[in-house]
Amino acid sequence: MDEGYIRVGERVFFDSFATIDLPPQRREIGYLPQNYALFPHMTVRQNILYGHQAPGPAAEEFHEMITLFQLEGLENRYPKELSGGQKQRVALARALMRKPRILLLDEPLAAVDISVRKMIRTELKLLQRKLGIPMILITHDLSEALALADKLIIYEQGRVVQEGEPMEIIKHPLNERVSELLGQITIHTEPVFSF
Amino acid sequence: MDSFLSALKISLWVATSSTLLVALFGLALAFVLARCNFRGKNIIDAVVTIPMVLPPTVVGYYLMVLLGREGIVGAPLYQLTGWSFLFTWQGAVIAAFIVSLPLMVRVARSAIESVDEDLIRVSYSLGKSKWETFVHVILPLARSGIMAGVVLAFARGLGEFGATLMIAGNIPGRTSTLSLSIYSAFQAGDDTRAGQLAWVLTGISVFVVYLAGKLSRSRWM
Repeated sequence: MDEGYIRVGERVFFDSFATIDLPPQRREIGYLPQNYALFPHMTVRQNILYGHQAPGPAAEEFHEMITLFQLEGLENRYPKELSGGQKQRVALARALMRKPRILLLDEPLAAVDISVRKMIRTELKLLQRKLGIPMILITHDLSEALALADKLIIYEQGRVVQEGEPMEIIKHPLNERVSELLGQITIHTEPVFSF
Repeated sequence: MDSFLSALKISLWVATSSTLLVALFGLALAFVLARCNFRGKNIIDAVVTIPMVLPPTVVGYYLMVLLGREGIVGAPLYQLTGWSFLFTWQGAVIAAFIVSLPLMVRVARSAIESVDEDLIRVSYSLGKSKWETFVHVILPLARSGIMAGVVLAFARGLGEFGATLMIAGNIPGRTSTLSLSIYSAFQAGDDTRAGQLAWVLTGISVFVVYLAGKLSRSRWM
């Protein structure tokens, strides 16, 4: 039996004591699974408009999304004709068309080529600032987490090891395990000069 | 020639009717078995599958116990309407339905199960109900597998012999299907005719199985 509660702002999704368990359809979470899960039998346009109720008035919002994610000209392509980065942007656009309260991203950069990872990382951060939608991002890459997070929660074997702002965690790792994790990456806390 | 045409007609009619029933019930069953968890699911699965491995005569026997004039369902039906499934084309349809249902359920179920769970979760997160998700995501993606199941069920229904013989008999012009006519011709010593009928049935079956193979290739991956 799962215990505890999950809420976003004032909205309760799940509460084991009040026996509330909101069906996924009403949670208003934008969900981005690891492989993006685009519907393979639908075009980019159909994917993005999938969650939209009435197809008519969506035209303007659809255009905004296509522009925001630089998907112009790809509207009639099928997912198998897209690159990894394009797939991700379609998945984001599809989730955002529903105006979710929160975005849940499961290892969004795992399936992207290392060479473009940093670029997409920056884009994600900018997007978050632009839209102001809270994002929960799951990653195994601590450097990615440190770069993206406003608040970082480190889990190990299903338990919270440490939580806080990235800087705080870097400066005061709570235990050996966290410092070990931090030790695997290079962090520049001071400005680096090169000549 | 006349009896050949009537046998062909009865065969196609019986197989088509049973396939329609199989498509409807089989799809619903396959969906429930693939996507729902409940107690007794394995029992339902076993009951549906068992006619596939039982000798057709055993299936025919159980159908008699169920639908015969003294059967569990058959007796009240006979008392109420004076009609029974025995020696009717409807009886042949029921026999074909029971033996081809497991094929449809097996194939369609695995097609439905092979639809990526994440696609379904995403569909839910985009506000779509279970039914909408079934229609817009699961059905189109599992379509080729479902079609293959339907076609295989048709082929199986066309070839049905044992259970049909027991419940519907072998009445020329009424319940004598192609496979039953082959048996009659062979019994009567008319080997030429039995051979011709066998070739026709083989031809239809080969075509149908070829069709099933063609349909089961997916377009999206």
